[in-house]
Amino acid sequence: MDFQLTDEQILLRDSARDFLRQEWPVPELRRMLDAAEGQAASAALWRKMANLGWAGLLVPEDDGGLGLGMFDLAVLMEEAGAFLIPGTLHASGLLAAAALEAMGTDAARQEYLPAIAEGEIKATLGVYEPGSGWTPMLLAPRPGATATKSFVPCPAEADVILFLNRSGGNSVELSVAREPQIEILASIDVTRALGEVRCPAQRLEAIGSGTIADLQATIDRATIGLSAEMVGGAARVLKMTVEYVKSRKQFGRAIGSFQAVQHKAADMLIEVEKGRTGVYYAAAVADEMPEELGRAASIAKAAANRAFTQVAETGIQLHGGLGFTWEQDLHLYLKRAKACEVTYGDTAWHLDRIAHGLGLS
Amino acid sequence: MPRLQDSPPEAEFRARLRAWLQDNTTGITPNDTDSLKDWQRRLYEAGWLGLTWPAEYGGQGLGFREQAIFNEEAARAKIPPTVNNIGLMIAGPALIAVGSDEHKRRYLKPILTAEEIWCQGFSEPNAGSDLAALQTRAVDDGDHYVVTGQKIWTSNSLIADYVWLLVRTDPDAPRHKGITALIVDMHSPGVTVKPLRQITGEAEFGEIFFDEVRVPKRNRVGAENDGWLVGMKTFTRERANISVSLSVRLQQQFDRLLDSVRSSDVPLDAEQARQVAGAYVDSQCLNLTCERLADRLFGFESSVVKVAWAEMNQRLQRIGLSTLGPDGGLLPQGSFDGAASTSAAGWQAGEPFERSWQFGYLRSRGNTIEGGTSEILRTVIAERVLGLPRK
Repeated sequence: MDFQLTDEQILLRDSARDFLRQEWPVPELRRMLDAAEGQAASAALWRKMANLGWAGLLVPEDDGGLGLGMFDLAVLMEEAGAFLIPGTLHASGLLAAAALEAMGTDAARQEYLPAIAEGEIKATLGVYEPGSGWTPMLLAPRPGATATKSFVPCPAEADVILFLNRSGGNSVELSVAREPQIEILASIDVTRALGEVRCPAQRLEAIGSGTIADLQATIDRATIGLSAEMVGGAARVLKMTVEYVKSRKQFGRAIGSFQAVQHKAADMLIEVEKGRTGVYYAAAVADEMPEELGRAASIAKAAANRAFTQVAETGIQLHGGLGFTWEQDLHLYLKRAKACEVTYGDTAWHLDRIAHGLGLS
Repeated sequence: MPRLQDSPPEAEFRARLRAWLQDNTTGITPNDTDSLKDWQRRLYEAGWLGLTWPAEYGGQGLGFREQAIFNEEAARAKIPPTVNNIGLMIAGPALIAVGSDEHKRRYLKPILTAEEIWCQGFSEPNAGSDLAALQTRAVDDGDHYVVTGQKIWTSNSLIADYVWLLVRTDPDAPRHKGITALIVDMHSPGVTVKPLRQITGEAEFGEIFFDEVRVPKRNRVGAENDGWLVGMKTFTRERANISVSLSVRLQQQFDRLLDSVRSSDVPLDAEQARQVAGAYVDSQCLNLTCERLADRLFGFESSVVKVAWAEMNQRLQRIGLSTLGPDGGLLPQGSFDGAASTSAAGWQAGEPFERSWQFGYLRSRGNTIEGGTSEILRTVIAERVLGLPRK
């Protein structure tokens, strides 16, 4: 086992960090607090990210992408999460692309993957249904007259919305939803849009098929990418907090010299390091041992959930009254943490899955 | 490059080790020092100890990768403990870092073979977390020092041949500047040892009293009054090595928890199952963090792992104890009779009390105290890793 980054991965990480510092500084991020402004800001960032090839990072070279692996993606998404970039990169370059690659017909791959990789189109994927939770077997066995997908990332910005529906038993069908109805959900995290999407069955155009296991593998890959963003967010909050407690003075000294503050900061670091390990491990499993993907994704998500929430909460506490204000950016991280925590399975869901795998239930 | 699987040479190393462990871990008496010494010697002679130690001093001259493989396989095979663990994890690595060539030639190999057992004499009754307050005096007497004082909480002191000792050589200097590191023969006239009984009932550690003990100056490690630095280097190595070896124990404890749960007549409820799964996630992440941070563990990052390990083990033991239900409040059958044992091997050894959740739970309370309390280590993390200001 070896978790040392390659020179290429270090370059990817550093260049992503420099790029986002330049192109997605806090004033840009804060434009997301206004719906219309946010769409414009997100679209501008999207074009620049696409130029770097990020949307096609995982797309095979034959399909016009960079053909890199999940570990590379995790390295990139950690930086993306540190800057709280909008969800379009995740929705298109990871979630929709992974579904197409795993389940799309050749024709569908040819039609969509190069365009996704180039950033010409933004795609997204609807999987879960009101009442299904994050458990694929709870999806409706066959869509009724109208298929409804909930918690669809960034549907308003998407040029193509894909649906994964159960087509009976363990089979699933991948389709394009033509002229769907989109209702934006008021997410606690305004930096990452979610929507409910409805599409009459006759306007679902099948472009692929697979099994529930393919569906779950697609979600597991997305989960690892999301977990990487979460750990990146946690690491950023830690950094902001360390800088703050070093400079903020009370009782004539920096508050970072008080043990009560120091020990909380130490705990933040411990959580970040464990979370990062979980993500790197899961990403390496995705690349090397796909048969273990589910367990590894659950490890990553459970660790990232804990790390991001705990670090974001503590970060606010250590910033005192300032941390509780709208002007300070920490609430954006806390809200991202809480919104991500319940995405693709909350902690209890993942622990139940691990317990089942260990033969405990 | 990030990878999970062994390279071909690593796979070969693992296969050889696994086969050897399969054939060689029987017939060892856990509470018998001689039996455990013999086991450690065989482990060394087969080439499995001192993996990262320099070859010229009896080590194997290999890398951390092999050490990690050893740890994984040792956990898997549930191997008995190495009796000279203080020598292997603390004194030896510290000697490699700061000892003279003569010291390394003289002392390292017998540490590996368990011919000479070591203990570490740092803490004193009035110098625990505040180690720089230590008062054990060493007075210059020509080519010797004359040492007088007391050390406490000393693991393996009852069976040790040598102690890795910090003493005060200059009482007038600022307190960090008057300390010196010595190697002291535990069989010297004037050394006496008393067992200290722990909350588990056994006496894994003890007190050492020095009454005008003569120590040759060639046994000084580093310069006179430079002992604080030696001590700090010892600590980072101690915490790094403890962290690494703790991965083995953590894996063993988790496997034990799984065995215990699976063999129980009462199935876990959903909440208990989640607790176990949560412990699985955290112990996996922690073990892998040791590997991920391996090249930084000789720095202050070792504190990160040590704090996390100690609390993780306490959590595992709590869960384990809770799986016993009402029986968790009883001593296990045939358990210790109240007589203080002088078990050399410490808490892993022995049947059946020392293998019980009751024992493990009680013993784990020491984890956040020994080798640096979690309070001290969190301060170290804050100040040395995160760079927060000191008071």
